[in-house]
Amino acid sequence: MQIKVVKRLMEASEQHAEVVRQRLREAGVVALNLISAPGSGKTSLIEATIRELGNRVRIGVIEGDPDTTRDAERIARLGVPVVQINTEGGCHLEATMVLRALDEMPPNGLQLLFIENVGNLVCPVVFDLGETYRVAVASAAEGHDKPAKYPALFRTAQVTVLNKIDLIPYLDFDEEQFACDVRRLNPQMPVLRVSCRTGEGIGEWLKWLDEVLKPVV
Amino acid sequence: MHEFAIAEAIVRATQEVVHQNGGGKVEQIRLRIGELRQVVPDALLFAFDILKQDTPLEEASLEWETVPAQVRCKTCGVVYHPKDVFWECPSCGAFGAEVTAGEELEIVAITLREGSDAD
Repeated sequence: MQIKVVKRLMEASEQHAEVVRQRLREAGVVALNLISAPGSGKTSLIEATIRELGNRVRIGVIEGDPDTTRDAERIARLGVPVVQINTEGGCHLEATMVLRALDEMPPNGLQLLFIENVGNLVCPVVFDLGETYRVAVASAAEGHDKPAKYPALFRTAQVTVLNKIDLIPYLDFDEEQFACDVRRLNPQMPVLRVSCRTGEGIGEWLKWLDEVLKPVV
Repeated sequence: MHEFAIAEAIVRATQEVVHQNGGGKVEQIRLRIGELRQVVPDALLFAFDILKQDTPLEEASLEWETVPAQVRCKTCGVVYHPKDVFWECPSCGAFGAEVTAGEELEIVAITLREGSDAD
């Protein structure tokens, strides 16, 4: 016997993402899903943001990593509420994990929630976490070919942050190629050049954040 | 390896459909997978073979058709099949398009073994 159906496989996952979105909307929180390769500086970007905005915006952080609580410890040192999710080898976060994290850290009272995804440019792109904005983070040290090689991330993000620009003089990083590829993949998307280490360009990032935080701050 | 999560969804969704249809052992599951989903066939089969153990899908095979990507130019509205990652409109040359096909990830048919008992 053959049963004909149209059963969408992402349905359950999308429903969970919708629950997250609803919960965050009710709590008045803007959530950013940070996606990048390992080591591009997601945690450093969150730290820089907390240092600059922490006194006027109520920030919370969900840290996703296969293992260790090192990133959560870095964030906790800045006095910001943080929950570490260990995926135990898993290559991406899913909305159900975010829901559990929100049970531990109720979003009420927060204005800005960072969700730092597992370092990976492929799998996290497939899963909607219920975020308000998706942020692609790249670093000059990874080379300029990341957008062309991992197009789905750059197509679906609302902003790209290019980190480690202080290293560009020492690298064979073709910035024009990087910018051109991103523009072709997602013509309207802003590309913000920053160095979390020197603080260069962080002002542009804060300007972008101010825009997206307008509805809640 | 998001294929594990997809295989998990296949097993769960199939069991749900089979249960609603009175149960039985599954022989084959037919899928439609969009080209843009970046599903690696070997990785999906590997994950499915592990996850189907001890379920009514134990002897089930997976078959799928790949749905080609199709996008609509945000500038001129022409629908086309992109020939590379950059989605340059063949009609007006603009970049930037919205997906109209190629993101499918769905079960379209489940074949139950003849005479198999309800689970």
